[in-house]
This record gives sequence, structure tokens and C-alpha cells, in this order.
Amino acid sequence: MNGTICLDEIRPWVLEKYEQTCRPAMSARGFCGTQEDDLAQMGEPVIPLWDLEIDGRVVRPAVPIAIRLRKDGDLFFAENDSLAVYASGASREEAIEDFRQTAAFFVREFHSLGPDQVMGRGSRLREQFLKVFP
Amino acid sequence: MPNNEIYPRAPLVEAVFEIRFPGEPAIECRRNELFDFVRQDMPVVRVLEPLAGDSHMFRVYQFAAADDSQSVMAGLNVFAYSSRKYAGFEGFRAKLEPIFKFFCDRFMVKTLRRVGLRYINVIPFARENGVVPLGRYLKSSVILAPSLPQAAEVCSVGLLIPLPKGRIATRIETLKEAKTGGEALLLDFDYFKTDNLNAESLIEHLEESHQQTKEFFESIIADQYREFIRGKPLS
Repeated sequence: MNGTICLDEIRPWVLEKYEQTCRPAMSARGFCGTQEDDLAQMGEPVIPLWDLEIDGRVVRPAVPIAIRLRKDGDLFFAENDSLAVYASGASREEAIEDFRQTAAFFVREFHSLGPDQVMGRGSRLREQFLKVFP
Repeated sequence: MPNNEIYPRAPLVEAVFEIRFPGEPAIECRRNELFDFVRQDMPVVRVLEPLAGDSHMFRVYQFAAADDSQSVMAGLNVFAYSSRKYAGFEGFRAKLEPIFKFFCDRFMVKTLRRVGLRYINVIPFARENGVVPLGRYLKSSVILAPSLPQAAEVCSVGLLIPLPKGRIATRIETLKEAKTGGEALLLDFDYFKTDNLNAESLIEHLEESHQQTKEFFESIIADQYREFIRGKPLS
């Protein structure tokens, strides 16, 4: 006993009490299915990027940014195609942290460059970053 | 004015409308008639397994779409329609209305004991500093006492809340997916009524349930999360 409470241990008790009080409308998963089944079937989850820390300042994007999470082999990936940010890590948390650092790096870089210093795809990305992180 | 805004990134994974009524043996005897009515859209037949300790429950048959996007479930004293590809309330109502009308007419269901509308939402999230960032998604965080940290590593809350015309059973819980370790927040709302019910007013009950549940959802989600599911996030 290490003193921590595991949700899996208390959950059956909580659910039993809850169901006794009020059994909700049945679910298409059947009575034995769990919401973890839904989570497993969701495929690649998408989570919001709420803010970035840039040079000690917390900066909020002008529009919400969606981070697509996926796993390939032993690696986790956090990606956003519009910003061309592709990050990875040994866990979801590491991949998201890598995404935040990579995105913050791009924001700093593109803010430091003038329009005549980038071209082609770089120019379009610069416009995108300046629009999202003005 | 009712808020019927449809969120492009709504976290809804399932919507269920269910009625319970005094046992009607005709349903057991003539399940094939219900199946004939829905089989074009829902050709897959299943018999749902009851939970352990629920041996007193009557067996429930499920007729489902091949891709499980929708199904009906019928037992001796219960009938439900479920959608797992919910594209707005109007479409949901249009789909279930003829099915419920057929069911109630064919099996002479007139007296209802319970009417419930359940919305199951699953919101993927990433931890922040090891805790669930509840405040990013919900207006209220876990505040047991002002002196305690307003943060949680896991969360499992069940509430039964009385409303003017019915009650809403709510579960807010963290989920963890075994294979990838992916985590999500479960928001499970079940608005139900047990008084002043009749089968002829079924659609009014459904509309009222939807309105109450929608207002409840709008009341508890955080503004910045609403922006995420409403807007066109950069993806």
C-alpha cells in the first residue's frame, strides 16, 4: 500500500452506488461496455493548444490550434499541418511539450524575419504564424 | 430563443433517447415486427448482455446499423434509439420520431414510467503539470475547500441535480485508454422525467429534454473550450 488511491479501485463502488440511485438511459455499447471503449475507437485524438510560453511570456493564439496526436511504434507524435509543426516524444506529454517548444521557436524566428528574408513556403508559413501569433 | 448551435468539433460520442414503461409481453413475442420496420437501416441483430448482478433485468435486443452509427434497443419494458453519428438535434429527432411512433402504436405503449435523453461526451485532453486541466474545459474546477489545491490527478464525480421539470444525472470522470495511454474527460448527461408522462407527448418530452441538456452543457463548459469546438481551429 503506497498511500495513493487508484481510480480503478474505487470506481466500481462509485458506479454501483450511482447506478442504484439512477440508472441512466442505456447505451448502444450495451450494459457491459465502458466509455474507455469510445476512447479507444476515437482514433487519433485532437486536443487544443491553449497557449505558448515565449521568452517567459504566456501567449495565446488568435485562433484555437488543434494538435493531432498519434502513436507510431514506440513514438508519440503531435502535429499541426497548417503550421507545419511536427513533434515527437516517448510519451504523449513529451510529444506535446516538443510541439510547444517547436511552435515557440517558429514564432520567435518568424517575428525576427522580414518579409523579404523568406520565400516560397517559408513566406506562407511566416504569414500564417504572424496571423495566429500577432 | 433556443440555442441550437451545432459545434463542428462537438465531443459527443453518443446520444440516446429512451422510454421505460410497464412490461408489455407483445414486445417479446413480436420483436420481428420492429426488426422489419428498421432492418433496412439497422440490419445487425444483437442481444445485449446484462451486467453482473442484473439477472432480474429483461433481455434487451439491439438492431444496429452495419457501421454502428445508430441502433434501436428493445426489451419488455424499455425502448431506446441511439445515434453515434449525431449531426444535430433536428436530424436526431427526425430519425427517431417514426420509429417511436411505430413502436408505441404497434405494441400499445401508452403509459410511460421514465423518459430520458442521454448525451455522452468524451473530450481528449493532455495533462498540465501532471494534473487534469479541468478549468480549461469546465467553468468550475474541483473545489472542496479554498485551502486545498484546486487540482486533481483523477476525477470521478456523479451528481443527480433536480431541475424544474425533471432531473439530470451527470457523471464527470477521467478516462484512460489502455493501449496508448490517451486520456479523456467524460461528460455524461442523462436528463430524465418520471412524472406526468404519456406516449402521445413523446416528442414534446424529447424537445424539453434536449433543451434542458443543451442549457446544462452550455452552462458548464468553459468559454475557451467553446471557442475550440465552435470555431474553425487551425488544424
